[in-house]
Amino acid sequence: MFSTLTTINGYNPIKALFLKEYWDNKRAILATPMVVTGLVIFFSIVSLITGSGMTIDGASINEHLADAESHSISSSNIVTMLVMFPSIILFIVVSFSMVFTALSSLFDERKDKSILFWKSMPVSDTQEVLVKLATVTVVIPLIAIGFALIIQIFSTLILGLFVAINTDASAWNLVFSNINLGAILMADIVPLFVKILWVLPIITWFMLVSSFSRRSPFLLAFIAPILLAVFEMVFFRSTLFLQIIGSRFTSKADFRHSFENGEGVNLVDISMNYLSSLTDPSLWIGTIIAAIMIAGCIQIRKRNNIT
Amino acid sequence: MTNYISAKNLNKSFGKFQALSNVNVSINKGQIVGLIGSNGAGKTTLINAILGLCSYEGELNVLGYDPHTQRDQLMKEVCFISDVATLPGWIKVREAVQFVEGVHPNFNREKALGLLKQTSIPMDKKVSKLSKGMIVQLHLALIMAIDAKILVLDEPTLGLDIMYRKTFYDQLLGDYFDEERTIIITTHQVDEIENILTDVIFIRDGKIMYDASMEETLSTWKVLDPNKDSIDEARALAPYREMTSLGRTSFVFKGKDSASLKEFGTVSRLSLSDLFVTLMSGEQS
Repeated sequence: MFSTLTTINGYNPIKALFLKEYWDNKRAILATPMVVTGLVIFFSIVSLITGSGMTIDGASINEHLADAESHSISSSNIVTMLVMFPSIILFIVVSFSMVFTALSSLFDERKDKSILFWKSMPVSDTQEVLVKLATVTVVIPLIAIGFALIIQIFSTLILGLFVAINTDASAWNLVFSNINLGAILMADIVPLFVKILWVLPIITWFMLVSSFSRRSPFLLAFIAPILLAVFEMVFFRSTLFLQIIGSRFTSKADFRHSFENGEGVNLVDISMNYLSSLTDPSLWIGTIIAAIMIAGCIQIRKRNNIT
Repeated sequence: MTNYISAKNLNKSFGKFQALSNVNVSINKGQIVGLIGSNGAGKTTLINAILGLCSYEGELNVLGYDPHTQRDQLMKEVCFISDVATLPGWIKVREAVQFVEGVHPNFNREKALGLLKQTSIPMDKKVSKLSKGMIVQLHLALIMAIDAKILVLDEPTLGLDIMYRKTFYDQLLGDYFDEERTIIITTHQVDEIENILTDVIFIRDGKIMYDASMEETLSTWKVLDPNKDSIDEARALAPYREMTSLGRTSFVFKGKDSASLKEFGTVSRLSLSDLFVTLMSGEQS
């Protein structure tokens, strides 16, 4: 199946453009999440063998499980939290991949002059830019979700083993029967894509910078907003700009809240919370700004030859 | 004759610099046109305008398209290899073939693979691991497998060794060119292309200085190597230019009959590079 996805037979420009992005960004799209997944699984196994126990939020797994039993709160939520937790690191790393891919998306092709080769082909700048945007905001996250699922399934198995080895409880009762794969899948997909929608203006800003930056798009992408924030602080004594940026990240639902109450996480609640943030007008104002920046990328690429 | 490219009063400026000024060009089906000029003369700007890679003022029609706004349509029928190596280093040979097959409706994979088979290019290598000559060969194989009406080559043999340059043009003429196609070539190495051209355009300071068919050029311009004792008589015939090299004097004549010149010495054709120098230095003095 993978080979039919990654080979081309005949005229299929959109597929060819996506494949081109895949070949170009293999490291960000595939290698990075694969390595992180491998490391997470490796360290899970190591900690299982050494028996030192994985500690989460300052407490060992034993304590969490004991907690669940003694409070007689839904042990499903606690177990789910334990299973979801290791995959968070994957999503953190992948978000960096997204930033770097966006920053290089329209810059590298000018730097290595390959833009002239791409432009010698009958594909429009609009198609190119939209495929690049979709690579960052859809392809990278989707593949990350695939790897997250692998981590979560592994975590479940390891947790079950851990319970079977270290406690008297039945691994089936305590762990496996408490896992709702549908809810996990939903919690992998919904919050991630809602969050991407929230930060879309920032991702498209990175792409816009990469479309016109002459030297380092990375520096420009961060220095310009910092200067703007400093300017605002000095001359207006306010931090409105920083607040707006921050508001894109402080999401409507958070794992932390549940941790503090010791309730574990209810994945369905979290997904619903994220979905309800879709009615926030500021989300859609940001999306319009993102669309304007993408239109800017297309216009600039039309004029771009090489740096 | 079917017109493929027509430019009328084409202008392009970068700030105060006038890269193209009132360029009028007409290129037809079946021509091989040499676009010749020094660095910064406007060759690449003119080519970029034709390929839809830059904006311009004036009228430009390429195969019925407005290149700047319809580049993606135009590229189905126009191919180009630009003067800089443009295949990205990260792409594998196999992937490059697949990509072009995917985005180009007129690409013939068998033909590309056949051309690649004649070379020593490994399919699994990345472009960054190929030699400069191999990269040009790969690019040419990809482009020659596209059934296009216009092929634009901007300094195609730059940086290639002499052995490969020759096969490059042989292959271009033998395997690719036919009456249905038009090729535009820019190069510094005028001598290596003059035998394959049908038409020649000289450009300087953004202006077209000369635009004629090779046939016309050869019948109009001649060099006379006069016999020692008839140098003064030859000079009296009002040559266009007098050339001295290694102590030998020769004269460039414009529009003179070979027969009338023959009595003063040996008449030969004027090479394009000498014509270029003749026209450009004549203008300057």
